[in-house]
Amino acid sequence: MHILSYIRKHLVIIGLIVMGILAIFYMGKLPSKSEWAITAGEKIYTQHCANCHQPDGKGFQKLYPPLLHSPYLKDSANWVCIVQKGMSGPIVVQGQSYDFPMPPNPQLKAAEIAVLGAYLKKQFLNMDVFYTPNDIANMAKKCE
Amino acid sequence: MKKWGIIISITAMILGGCGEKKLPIMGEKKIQVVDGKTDTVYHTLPEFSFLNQDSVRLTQAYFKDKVCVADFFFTSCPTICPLTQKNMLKVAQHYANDTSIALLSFSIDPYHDSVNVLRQYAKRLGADTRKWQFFACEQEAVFELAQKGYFATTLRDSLQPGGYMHSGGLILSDKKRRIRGIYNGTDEKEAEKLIQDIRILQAE
Repeated sequence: MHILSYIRKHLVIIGLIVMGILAIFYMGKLPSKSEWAITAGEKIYTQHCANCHQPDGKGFQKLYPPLLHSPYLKDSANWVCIVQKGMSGPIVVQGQSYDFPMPPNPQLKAAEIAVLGAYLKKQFLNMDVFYTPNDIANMAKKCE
Repeated sequence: MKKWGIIISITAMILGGCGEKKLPIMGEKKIQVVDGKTDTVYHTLPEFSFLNQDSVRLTQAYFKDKVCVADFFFTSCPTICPLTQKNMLKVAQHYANDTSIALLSFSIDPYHDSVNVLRQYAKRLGADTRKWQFFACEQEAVFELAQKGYFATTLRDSLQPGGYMHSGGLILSDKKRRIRGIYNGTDEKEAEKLIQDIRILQAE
């Protein structure tokens, strides 16, 4: 009886302690925000990019250039413009020339481009970058 | 003894069936009676006349006695065409030295896909244009050819990425211009099956 009344009296404090222990326990297991973004970004990539640039990012024939180690992806801001507005005109990637227009992607929202960016940078440049939708909106402002 | 006879005949039927695998003849068929003889008339691919990537006007006559694989696409298509064309390339490469096989890719986007664009596209895709033709088509004509001739859906639809809605089928036809199979062009396994099925038609 003593114990029960003690618990009842300090219910809030006990609850907080239990939650704290659980939080510490699970913290290591929950994905970090950039891991979450990369997983979400992979879905966007598969849906909107992989048909041409291929799932492994190596491109296809002389039609679609590779994204793997691509200098166009390394450029910190320009990649957002390419995703949104598409691209045309001749380019050279890793010694190979490409000259077939890439269509724009007006349907992609800033939040989607943000997670896509985290995936592209991780997967094809091995860089850890996290973008917020706001970052993307600011980068997009600089597109011509 | 009777029992063995049944087992042998069943085995023979199974083995025989395997050896003579046949592909269906697709589309509507009509029974005609000419001079007291009944004859089945199958759906055949209709005539067309389009410029290819080299600005040469070709018709069905160019593909006479050939087993053909056709698809409908457009070069700026961001969705399924890159996949279907990749599988078409696989078929073309598999039968690279076989002149009895031909491939046809009809562009459904006359506003963008000029002869010149198609020539560049074919070159960059790595397509051998002795085997594989890319057609710059008039829109109405190609839509009708797709719908009535090849049972493929092609539509202008501004809501779709790229502005067109179309089915991504690879359509196999025999030497008599009859459709013998429609394969999902976005699926690698279907493309493999298509490659195998071409052999069946060659043997006919």
